[in-house]
Amino acid sequence: MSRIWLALLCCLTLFNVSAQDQADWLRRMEQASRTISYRGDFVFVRGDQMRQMRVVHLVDGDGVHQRVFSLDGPATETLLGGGERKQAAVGTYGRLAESDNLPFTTLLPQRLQALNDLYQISLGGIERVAEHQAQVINVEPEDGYRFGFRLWSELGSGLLLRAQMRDATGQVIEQFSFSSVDLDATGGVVTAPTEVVRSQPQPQAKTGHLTHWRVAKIPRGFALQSMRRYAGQRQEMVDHLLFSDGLATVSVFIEPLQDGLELANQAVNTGIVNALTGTVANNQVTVIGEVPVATLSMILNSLQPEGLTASEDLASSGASTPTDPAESTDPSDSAGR
Amino acid sequence: MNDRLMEQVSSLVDNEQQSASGKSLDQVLKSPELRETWQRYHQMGDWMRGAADGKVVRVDVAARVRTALESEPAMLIPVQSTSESVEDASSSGLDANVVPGPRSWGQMAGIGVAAAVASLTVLLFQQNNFLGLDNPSPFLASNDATVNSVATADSVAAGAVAATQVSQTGADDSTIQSAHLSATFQEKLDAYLVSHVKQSAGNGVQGMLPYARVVNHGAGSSVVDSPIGRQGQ
Repeated sequence: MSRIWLALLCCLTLFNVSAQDQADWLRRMEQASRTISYRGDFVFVRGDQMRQMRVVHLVDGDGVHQRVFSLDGPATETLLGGGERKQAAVGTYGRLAESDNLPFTTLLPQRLQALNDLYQISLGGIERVAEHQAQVINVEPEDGYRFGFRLWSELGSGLLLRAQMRDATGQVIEQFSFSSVDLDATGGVVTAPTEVVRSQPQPQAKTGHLTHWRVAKIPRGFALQSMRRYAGQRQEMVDHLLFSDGLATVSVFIEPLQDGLELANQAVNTGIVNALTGTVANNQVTVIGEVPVATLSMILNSLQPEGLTASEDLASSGASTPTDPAESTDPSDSAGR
Repeated sequence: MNDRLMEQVSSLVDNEQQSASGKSLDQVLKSPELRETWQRYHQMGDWMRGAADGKVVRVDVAARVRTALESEPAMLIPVQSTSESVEDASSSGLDANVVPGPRSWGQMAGIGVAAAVASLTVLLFQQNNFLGLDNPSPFLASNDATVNSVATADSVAAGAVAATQVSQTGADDSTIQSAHLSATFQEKLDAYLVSHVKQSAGNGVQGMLPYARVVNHGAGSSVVDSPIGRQGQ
């Protein structure tokens, strides 16, 4: 009998060690994105489209500065940065992303334990990517409300060298892979080479009535991560709620309906990022995320206003406390306040 | 009708059972019900091929698809009237339709057919917009394959919505209005996508994917009227 208990104990120990290993790899990937300077070329594939892109990612005392731009097709780029460098970090390209601070909100560390309830995480073999050895990590969802991943993490640094996002059938729907990468990029230029045009930062709302929003039904594991209010392009007040299960994220944008600008029910697919629109209590609602449409639909259809309060400034009052998804069996955990 | 036989008819139409076509075709020819199904599937296929070739096909697709849906109650889970409005579909709780998990083979087959029907309706929607507008939005100028994939994903996610989608595509006014709104929608979507990436890309596990999405946003995007969304309360 004692041998059986010993065997069980060994199994449990091995299981814990294995789960710890998998969690460590995810943690290393997250840390690498915040602490390592690198530059490299990568291929981004979505459906039958392929783009070659380059990233310069520098970390210094001011924070993280990153420029991602295309090497073929229309000249487009996204720049993210912190500190002084961001003053010159915006180019005149076709599409201009914002240059505000990169919000390394580090969602993942808070969720590593809970992820094991939402995804089956297992280690694969060691494979070679962009002349580096990489550990393969398989992340398969336990339900149909999120996509799966296959990740290649560089053995030494943990940097993610290749990632595939897969649907429920295992089919790859979007992926990127470095073709070359320099992990010792201690210097370099993040700035765009031509005329500098700064994008307008989103002003934060200072006054106004704030509606409390509640998502009555949400897929297991998703919890409110943050919420903020800002002024949109037409100075309309936009509430932005962000939900996450630790890997997948869903944003809910809510703004008052405007005459002639109501967006009828529409669904948009940009590859892996889906979006749904609808109207709720005289508000235009857009739900967007790299999740299946079923997830967006559930959130959109269960969004409810909870009433009004006087002149609250959501942005300055800070986001609500993220809820541990392992405990969020009560839908009220997903309420935005 | 036997679900397995229905699947066989569908496979025959798709030329997936060429090797066993003799025996299966005999079975189809003996059954009036299967013959009707065979004809219906071929009509749908003909229309889709015509649309793919860019031909203007004036047919009552809505009625044809509605007929197909009425013949396949198993594909709508739970069963909803095909004439329900979008508001009805939303208020009746689409959540019940999107619960994932293991499905029987019969249900899977039903959803597969529903997906094909939804693709059909989306193609019609796109065709109407090209016909009705001189300068269609870039969203609507995406290729058929992308639009098809959208419709399929929607249908699998919420199998019961195909019927209401049909009712929308049948109205020229609604499709043209949607196309005009798309420019606004794209502008807003651009801003939303950037905000979403900014707030969500911090976990590092997706690597370059979020940023590459922003850079490539718009290329290959597609938009459809969708009863999956929600109308006002």
